[in-house]
Amino acid sequence: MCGILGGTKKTWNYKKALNSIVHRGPDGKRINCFDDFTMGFVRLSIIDLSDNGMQPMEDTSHSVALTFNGEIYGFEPLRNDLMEKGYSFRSTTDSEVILNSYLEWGDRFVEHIDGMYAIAILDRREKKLKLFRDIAGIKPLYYYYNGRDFAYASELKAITSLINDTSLQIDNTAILDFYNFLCIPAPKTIYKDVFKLEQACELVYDYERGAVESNASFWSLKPNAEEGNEIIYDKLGTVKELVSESIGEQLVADVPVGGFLSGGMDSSIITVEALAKTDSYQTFSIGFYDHRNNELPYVRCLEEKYGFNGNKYFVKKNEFRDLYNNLKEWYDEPFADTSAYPTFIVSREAKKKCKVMLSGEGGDELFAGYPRHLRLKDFESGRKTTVDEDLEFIYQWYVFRPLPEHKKLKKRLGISDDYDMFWFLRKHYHKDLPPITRMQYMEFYTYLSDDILPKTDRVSMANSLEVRVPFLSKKLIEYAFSLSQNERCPNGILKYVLKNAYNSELPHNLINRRKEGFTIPESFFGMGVMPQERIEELFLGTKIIEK
Amino acid sequence: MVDEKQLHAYYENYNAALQFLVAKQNGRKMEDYLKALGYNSVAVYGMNDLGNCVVRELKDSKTVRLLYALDQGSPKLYFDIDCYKLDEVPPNKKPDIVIVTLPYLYDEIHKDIERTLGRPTISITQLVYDMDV
Repeated sequence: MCGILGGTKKTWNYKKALNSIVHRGPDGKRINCFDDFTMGFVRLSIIDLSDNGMQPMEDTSHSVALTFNGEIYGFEPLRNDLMEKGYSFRSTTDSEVILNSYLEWGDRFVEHIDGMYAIAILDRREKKLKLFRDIAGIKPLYYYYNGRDFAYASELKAITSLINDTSLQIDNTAILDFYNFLCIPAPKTIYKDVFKLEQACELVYDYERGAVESNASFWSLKPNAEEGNEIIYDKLGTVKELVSESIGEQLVADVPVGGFLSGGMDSSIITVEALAKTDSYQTFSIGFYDHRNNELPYVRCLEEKYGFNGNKYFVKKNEFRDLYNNLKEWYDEPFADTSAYPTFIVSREAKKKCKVMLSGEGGDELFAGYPRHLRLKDFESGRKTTVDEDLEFIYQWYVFRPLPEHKKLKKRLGISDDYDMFWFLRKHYHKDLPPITRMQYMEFYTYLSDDILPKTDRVSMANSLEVRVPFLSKKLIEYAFSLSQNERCPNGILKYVLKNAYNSELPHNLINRRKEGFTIPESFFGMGVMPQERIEELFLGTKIIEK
Repeated sequence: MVDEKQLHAYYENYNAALQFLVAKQNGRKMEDYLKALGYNSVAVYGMNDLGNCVVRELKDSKTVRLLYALDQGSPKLYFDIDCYKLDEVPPNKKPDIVIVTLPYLYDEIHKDIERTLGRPTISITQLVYDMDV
């Protein structure tokens, strides 16, 4: 896990920009100037701690340079394949595997890798800069393009620091989107001319012509469109094998590895699998002095069953108050997922003992873990609904202001009445899929990639901690969505597949417990106030709509 | 009409009492936790029902001395224990730590207690959760 950046203009302050993301990589820093393009890198050493793993990394002929943030899983066999084809390696890093994969397969190297990544490849033969982002959007990648100049970076703050361009304009539609979705969804950022590269996308910038040549998806999720029948036993076994394989691959590191343990099913599954593979695995859990939010009793259930004693930390109200304003620093643009706070705190505690953590993100999206996955099915039951009716129904789960207030917002922000407030959901909404699959598919491309994953990336990286997400291996994603709706969620049983696959490994009270979000007690924000309203004031200075 | 403040106070008391029960059911002893933190003597601030629970818990402890109770108003005293107002505490009888049994008021009052007595405090809520870890 690291920080990357690059750009076209020699007059930009690359050193200052790199310093703004040094938290992503405190173990090393480098800037290289190549012809008409500069690349910078801050390193968090995880695999091959020597200087051989430093970036920007070049091939022996200096025709291709790479900066890469993330990890490639199970890269050793690929490395061996490339060695058999005649490629030599100076390091044992996955970065060099990507470099040589690109030399071998060109842009299609992405078909040969699995992992979490934001990759920038400067191909000096073609005079092109190519950006790649992983299929789930685990690692962030921002870019600036004003029709001529180009820059990319791991965080928005690095872009704004790099270009230091006061003519950057706020995109008011992005502010409206924030109210709609509690985040600014890709490809938008708060600024015009600055964008997020969407998940599973490749962007090609021709730095000789000064033009973005293409920005297209290299992979798409192909969900099973059948309602189908209840899952058969063999498939549960396959899921378990894939989960175990993914965790095994993601435990690979030259530094201590641990895991977040919330007391929920996903993190418990990861813990059980990891403990079976390594004695050195440590868990980190958060508690609150409030029974309504404290999940430590569930953590203790697992500890008692498996005979281990994880690290536990209670979050205090005054501690939260000290961190409150940091949300702006972490996200650089409006972002209202309050679980960022406990995630920051557990990351901070974990970093005292580990450098890499495993986390359970993705389990709910892949295996239908949210109660709202069922609501659409109920909504459609017995009638034909339009896409607009569906989206208006779904929308209520993401917003904290009622729909009529958005008309006032549009007016205040100078946005035309016909602006589609549902654009982000509509883009990934496929009415031809059965309702539960449809919700899962949509959330894989929306809620997961633009809320859950950025939330974890920024606050873990703020602590220079790498977080890996075993449920989001390519094989597991594709397998989960290859199941029919009723195989994944028969008779409306949420997380049916994981519950049954791990029925003998997990305590039953943990399997059957109610789904809880990971968030700060509302009392921390003050009585009678929704946390998101406070965050609105934090980012925007005021409530745009006064009550 | 429900008084929100009062409701909040009741919830905080319930939360602390419930966790105290859970900790006891898990076999925890308050004296063990306090001793592990290095405290040899305590005072209890707030002689309400929760305060009396703490006194009951610690009055016979052989490892941590319960010096006295503190209360600024009309204390409920179910046990034979000295009870002072904050400004009446004998100067040679300062505890290592003061347990504050008013969880809904802790944020407001703990600094005054610490300043007057020159000793740290701990909220009953934090104590009963931490002792159960």
